[in-house]
Amino acid sequence: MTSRAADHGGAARSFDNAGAQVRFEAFFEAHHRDLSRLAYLLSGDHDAADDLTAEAFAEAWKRWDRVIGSDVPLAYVRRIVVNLAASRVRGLVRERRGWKLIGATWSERSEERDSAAVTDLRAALARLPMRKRACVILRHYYGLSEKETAATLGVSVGTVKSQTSRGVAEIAALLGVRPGGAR
Amino acid sequence: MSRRDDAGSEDGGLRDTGWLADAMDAEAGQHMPDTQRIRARIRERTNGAQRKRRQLLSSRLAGVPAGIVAGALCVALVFAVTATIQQSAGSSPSSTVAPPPKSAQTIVTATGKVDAGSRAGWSQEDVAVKFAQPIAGFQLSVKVSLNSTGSSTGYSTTYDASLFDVKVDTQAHALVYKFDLKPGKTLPAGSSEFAVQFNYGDPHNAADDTYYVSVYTDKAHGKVPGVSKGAF
Repeated sequence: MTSRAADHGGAARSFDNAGAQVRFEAFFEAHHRDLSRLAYLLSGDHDAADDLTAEAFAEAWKRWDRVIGSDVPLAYVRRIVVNLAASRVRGLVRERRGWKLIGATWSERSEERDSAAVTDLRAALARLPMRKRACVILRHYYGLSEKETAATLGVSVGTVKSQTSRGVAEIAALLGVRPGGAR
Repeated sequence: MSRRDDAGSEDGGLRDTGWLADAMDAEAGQHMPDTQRIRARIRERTNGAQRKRRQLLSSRLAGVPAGIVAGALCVALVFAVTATIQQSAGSSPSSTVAPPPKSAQTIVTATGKVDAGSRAGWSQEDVAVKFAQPIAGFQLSVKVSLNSTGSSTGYSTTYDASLFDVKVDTQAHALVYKFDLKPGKTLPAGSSEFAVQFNYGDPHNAADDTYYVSVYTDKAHGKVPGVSKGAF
């Protein structure tokens, strides 16, 4: 994409639509699996993860010039995935599974401090509020720095530090992991 | 993907967080994105946005009072230009999200069964796959659910095993086998078989075990995706 196109947004892109589509396709092919797995860790639901991914790519296409003109296009779309997850997960999972099934797994219990042990990571992540969950996932699955995580979530580095630290500790407690990784 | 840099260095008493990265890796690996479905949803959403804009434009124009037509001519022109720009910006990335050919559903078929040689405490599960066209992307995941302890005793395929990267994740209550076709390798159209073998402690119910095959055809056949999944 030319800088002119980036400057003039959608209007300029209409003159270079074919090129944009090729780049979008290449970007999709390179990153959709990874982003879908991020969405899965955030949502805990396979169908919701794919729907979130699709929604994120649709959003990315609508503002493709900004995405491709950004320093790190993947970071831009990753941010869309996280933001969508924060706002859409409840609805998407509800659509897919119905209320009865949600009760014991995601979202509605996020803020509860249920001390009962859980046996798998998915259930442990589900106990964390979305922002804390996102901090833990971006830091420990994606390996993003605190600064990158903060930029992705639109929060301060201090918040990332504290949320991640607490999130890890809570997951460790839920899974019965002791310092050093032993269970 | 770059990951696990120094992420674990700031977590107080839990400095060694490699266990968490491993657990997240394993959990993320449970998800096999359905590329075809994602593409279809993108198309749905981008086309939907386009329709909404058209509807919005119609309703806006319909609301312009006839008495101020002259004064509104330039406004209408602005509307029209804006709408054109918006519709260009909102157009569907058609090459990306064009509906897959009807044959996409049958690019791959797979069936799973418990091998007849299985016995108490040890089992083999077979996945037979059939490709309608040459395949350039292939991933098979087999998840064996365990009530308690269990361990892999191996895996096999009727293909040349060196074509695949194979990984076995031992989790708390599951074994997950993954066969990934190496980049640049292709599989011809036709039938083949994969097998996983494992020991288990408590009674094991094969009906809880699942497989998931995700493929796309080679470039000459349009890189069409296909998925097949089921239980044993």
